[in-house]
Amino acid sequence: MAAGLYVVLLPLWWYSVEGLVVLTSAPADWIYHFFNPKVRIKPDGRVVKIVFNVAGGEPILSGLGLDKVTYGLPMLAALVLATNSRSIKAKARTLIIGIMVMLVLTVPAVMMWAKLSGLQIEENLAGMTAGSRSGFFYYAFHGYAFSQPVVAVGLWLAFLMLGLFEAKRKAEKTPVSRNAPCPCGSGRKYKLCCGRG
Amino acid sequence: MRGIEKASAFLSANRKALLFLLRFALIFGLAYFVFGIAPGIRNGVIRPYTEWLARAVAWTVNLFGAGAMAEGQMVSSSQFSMQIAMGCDGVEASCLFLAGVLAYPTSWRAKMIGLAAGLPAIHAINLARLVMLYYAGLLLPSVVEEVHVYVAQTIVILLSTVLLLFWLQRVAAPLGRA
Repeated sequence: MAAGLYVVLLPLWWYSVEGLVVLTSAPADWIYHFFNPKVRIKPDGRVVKIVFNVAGGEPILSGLGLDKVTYGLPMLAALVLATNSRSIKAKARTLIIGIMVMLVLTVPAVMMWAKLSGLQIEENLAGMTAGSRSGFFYYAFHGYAFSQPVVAVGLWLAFLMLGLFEAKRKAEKTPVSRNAPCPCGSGRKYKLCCGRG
Repeated sequence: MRGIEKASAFLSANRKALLFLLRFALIFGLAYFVFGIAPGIRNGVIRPYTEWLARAVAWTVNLFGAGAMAEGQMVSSSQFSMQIAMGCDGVEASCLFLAGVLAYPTSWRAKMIGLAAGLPAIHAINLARLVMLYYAGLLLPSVVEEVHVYVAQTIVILLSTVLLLFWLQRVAAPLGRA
């Protein structure tokens, strides 16, 4: 069932990538600006555009297609929707939490791409061997991108184990002793106040 | 204050689940770093394995008369060529299964059974995916990239999850109680 839902949700996600680009590039730009003010991260259609401002020269551009780091989203949604739950409200809440967590995780992925591209440009300008400085970030970024289905499964397992698919139990009223002070705050005994009759 | 009370109640009520998830994330991260990122193992173990995978794909498709050849990580024929690169090696799926099995609190016997049966099964599924991708490249060249990223990889992870859940239900739980 999850596989069928995934196929249905794929086009929905595909057409929402532009919105995801806007949602993730703004916080990524804001945070990355503290580490490197010469780099700007901007939305550009389905691509997150990284602008490297070089002193005394034209800015160098790099782009990241956001579909490469968000394709776990439809899988997570499919897994959540396919999970048996007695409460539709709990399922909807879990789905919203899942989408938010995936979006939050995308922000450092975008920043990692900016760092990787920056190092690759530096290597290129300095005539160094490709990967000599950027190697770790290359594998870390692509590892996250290739692990999108794993991230989805991991989050789904976490939601399942933390009982997010279960309906919240209404708080049971604790019985008040007849001689205890009344919970309404009157200062009288319960039996002589709200517990009368 | 109420928020702190709520958080501590949540932590104490879900202590076991949170410990499992923490162990799962740590083991996955460590395994992925070792097999997916660390250059020594990537070049010394994973790269030769992907070259072996290329030969296995060529051998399998040649059983059906494809006329393919393997050279390094490349599988090529007159009609289609593909490279068995990072992400095609089954490392992600293996790390997911490994982390799930090792993090779950059960007997070591159950864990060993899980790893001995599950990991070869995942790599057999991964090989089947690569063979399927070769045929997707032959028959659907315009969408092979989408099939590669969004369908094939997802199927391997979904099947690894099914294997993990099967192990949890049928092996880990009964042997853990014994």
